[in-house]
Amino acid sequence: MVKKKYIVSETMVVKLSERVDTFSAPELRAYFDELLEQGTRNFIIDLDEVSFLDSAGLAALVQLLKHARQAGGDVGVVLPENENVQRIFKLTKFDRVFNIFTTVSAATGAV
Amino acid sequence: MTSNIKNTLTLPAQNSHLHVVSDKLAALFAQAGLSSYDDLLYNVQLAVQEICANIVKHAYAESESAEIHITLEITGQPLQVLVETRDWGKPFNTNDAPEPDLDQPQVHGYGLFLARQLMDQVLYHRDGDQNIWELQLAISD
Repeated sequence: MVKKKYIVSETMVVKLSERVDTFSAPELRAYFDELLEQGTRNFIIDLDEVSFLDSAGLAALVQLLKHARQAGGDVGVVLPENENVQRIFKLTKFDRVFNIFTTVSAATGAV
Repeated sequence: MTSNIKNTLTLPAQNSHLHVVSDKLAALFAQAGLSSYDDLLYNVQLAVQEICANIVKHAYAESESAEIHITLEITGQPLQVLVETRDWGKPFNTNDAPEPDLDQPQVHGYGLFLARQLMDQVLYHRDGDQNIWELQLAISD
């Protein structure tokens, strides 16, 4: 699920992969909470290699966004080229709530 | 393309097992010669995932000994995908699942909404001690 994390320009990039779903979401929420507790405020969540995202996975991202913004930060999301995951963001209108990018390099310059 | 293919499975009602339904649906689409219909397959996989996740969380309240019985079918002319789930948990109450206000982002409450958006039809009824969800999606280009 969490494939790797690295820092670019004071922004934490978290690369996820495969299924981000109701099974993996609790672990992901705990992972995000830990990063917030360590003081991270700005995130890029790279979903480029995510093959499946359900509402529980989406909820983990929305909760991170809420907490990061409360702490004065923000969250950008890199969506995969695959339209399936993009469709979930559009249907729920979260493509208007998150800052959406097509690449990490575009995202790290913006958050 | 082949019509009238059916597969049934019984899963432990646990989130760790729900990916199996996605795998079975992919196999069913492949068997029916529908491997190129990635977007439709994803819609069905996600809709069924959301229904099953709701069963685990709400109908069974994460009881570890519970089961979900699932029937997956590709049938008809024109072709359609039919999915039926049966569980023996608490009855579903529509009032517990209000439609999300998409202009007021919230953390939870999108599961059933997504299932309804992605399928042509999502029906629920109670039969004795069983909850039955029926999902239908036409297969079209």
